[in-house]
Amino acid sequence: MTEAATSPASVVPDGDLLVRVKNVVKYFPIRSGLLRRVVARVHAVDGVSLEVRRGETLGIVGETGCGKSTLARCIARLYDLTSGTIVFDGRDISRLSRRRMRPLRKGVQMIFQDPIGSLNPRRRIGSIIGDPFAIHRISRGEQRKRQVQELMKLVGLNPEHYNRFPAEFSGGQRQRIGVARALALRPKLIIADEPVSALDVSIQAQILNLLTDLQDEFKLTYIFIAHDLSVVRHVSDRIAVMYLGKIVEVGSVSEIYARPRHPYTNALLSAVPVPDPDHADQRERIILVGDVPSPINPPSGCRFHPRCPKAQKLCTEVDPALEVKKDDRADHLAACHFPVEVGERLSRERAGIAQADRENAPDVSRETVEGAIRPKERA
Amino acid sequence: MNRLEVKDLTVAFPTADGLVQAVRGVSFVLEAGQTLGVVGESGSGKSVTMQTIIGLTRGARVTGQALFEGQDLLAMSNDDLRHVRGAEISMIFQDPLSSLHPFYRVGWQIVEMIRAHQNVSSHAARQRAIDLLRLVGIPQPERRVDDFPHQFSGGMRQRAMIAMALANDPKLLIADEPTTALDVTVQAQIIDLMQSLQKELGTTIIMVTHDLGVVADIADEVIVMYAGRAVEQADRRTLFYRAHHPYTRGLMGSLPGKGGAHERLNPIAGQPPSLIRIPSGCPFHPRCPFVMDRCLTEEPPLLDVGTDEGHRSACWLPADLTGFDRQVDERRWTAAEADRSGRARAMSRALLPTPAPERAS
Repeated sequence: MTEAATSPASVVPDGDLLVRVKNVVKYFPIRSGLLRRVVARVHAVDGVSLEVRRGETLGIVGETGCGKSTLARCIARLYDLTSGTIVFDGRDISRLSRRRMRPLRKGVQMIFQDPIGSLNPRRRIGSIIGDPFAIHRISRGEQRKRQVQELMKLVGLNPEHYNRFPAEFSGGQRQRIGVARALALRPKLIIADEPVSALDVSIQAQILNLLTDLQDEFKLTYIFIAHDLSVVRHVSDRIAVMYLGKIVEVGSVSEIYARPRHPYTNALLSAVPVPDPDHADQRERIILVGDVPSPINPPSGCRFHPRCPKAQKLCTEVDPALEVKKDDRADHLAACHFPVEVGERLSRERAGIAQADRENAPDVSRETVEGAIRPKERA
Repeated sequence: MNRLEVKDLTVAFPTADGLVQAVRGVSFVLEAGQTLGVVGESGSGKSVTMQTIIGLTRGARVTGQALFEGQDLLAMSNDDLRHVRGAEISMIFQDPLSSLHPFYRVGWQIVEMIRAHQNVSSHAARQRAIDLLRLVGIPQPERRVDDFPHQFSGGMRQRAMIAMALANDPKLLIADEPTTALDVTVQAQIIDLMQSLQKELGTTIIMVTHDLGVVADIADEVIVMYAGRAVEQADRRTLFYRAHHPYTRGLMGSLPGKGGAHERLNPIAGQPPSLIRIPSGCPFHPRCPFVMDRCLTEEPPLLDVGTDEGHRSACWLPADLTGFDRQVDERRWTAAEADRSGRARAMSRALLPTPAPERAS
């Protein structure tokens, strides 16, 4: 661990990397008018670099619209990239055609959030789980059925339910079907996009345990996307925090939770409700003002500056690089000009930079808001 | 006088598949300025309880009483109820998009809410709507008041819903999963807002949620619901540190907490029961590692347990066994072992490697 390391790639030897994402950009055009001309672009993922090591779980967290799902779909090449490169298992897949991508798809599978929407209601689950075998022409007939039933047993479903329809299963069981389908081709990487968000807590724990067991058994690598930070903390080895299409901080779970350097990470962690009353009473929440700005026209400089309690003039002008900050471990990177120091308290401060774009931030401070409570009665 | 007193409320829906027993005898008392947290999984009856109180469950068979400042809401005529609802009691629903009418401007909808219950000029009502939007943190309320709901973000819509719910200074605010659809930072804003409003206006709040973290944050009293009944009721600290009911214990054990990566969680085995075919005896017995003989046939009543005042639990385990540490679990296990034979023993063994202590046997 030397301080010389500034690039994310330098920490781990290449052989240990399963995925390397470099400067990946994904814009979605917004078309309008008779000629369907591109009038604007959604900057969904805007220059993301990161790496996924073999056998680890990388958690990606961030709020709605931060681009975490888009990034995951770019890695799985469900989307074409606007620019940048993705190297999967030593091979550059960023520009591969559909046809040349197909054999590689066995290596990357996805689990989706909605266990109802991601299963065709009119097909029997045996045939749904058997799809990967059919698509990649691996097996057929009796052999396929046997493989599917083995998978069902593996994820805790009764193999005799082979001929049932998705509607006959509960939410948790449906998510198990999704897991079985993802596992069918023994992928190297599974991308789980909010796999437990739609489930009740007791069921959620069952699925999380299943994912952990499968990882140990098959040496899987996970990219785990969730907005629930306690879930991400539980499953991940490393965490990447995204804000408006960029990674603002990445590091090991213990580093991110013990020493979050980016003010946004601090705010995000402090906002998570903790099921412990004593802890909840002591904690000081950092309440961010306003909403996440539009990714169509992101703020200048650091994208977090309109909501950041530490923002200064520099932040409005220069986009900070994702780099190792002073005294941090070599694999803990943050993109901030003024990283949060240990013991620093952010909760007393409020966003300091006046907003140029009035759409994106409230023009009232918290005090004015509180002062506005019941003005008529005070008068 | 208590602000709200619910007595032995039952709600059932006749359906083609049979009678759905959504709520099966729920009672609680709520004083002014208090916050009640109601937790439970989907289908535990928590939302139906609240909707019934304010008369939103049409076609249901309802028995029991819901006394709001002494008046029984369940016995009220629709006309009378209309005066209470929206003025004295208001409700915030989970889905902010479908609770706002997409055709009308946000401000217009708030104004309508105000003028339905107060005799004020439309200009004054509009001014009040702007004040309310400012209060809940909508930027530039003078301009945004004329926006349509689709022009608001999810968090802003939920804040607009809160503004609308507060328009007539309700005494009781029922919030049904108000932050579930929102991001954590927005959730923190909304909870912060509700707390400061409560401090200022003395509103009584019922917070229905599946998120134990939210409850730990804001509730004074907590009710845990399972299969249409309150299975445990206690003040916040008692519930989080000295719970009695195995279901509450199971919920807390399911939470991914401080344990590091890849540590196993202790989920509750199985799934919540169907409300049409509720298990005999204690409805939790098919999932409970401490199942005893009598749990199969007799449904336990909600009785005082532990040493904390107002701590009640519906479980046949000895009343002094509260808390989460290993010794208590071992004593629970020993107590359960002493009281079971044949079927219950087999059931508990089948549930085993999940949470219970094997070393205790």
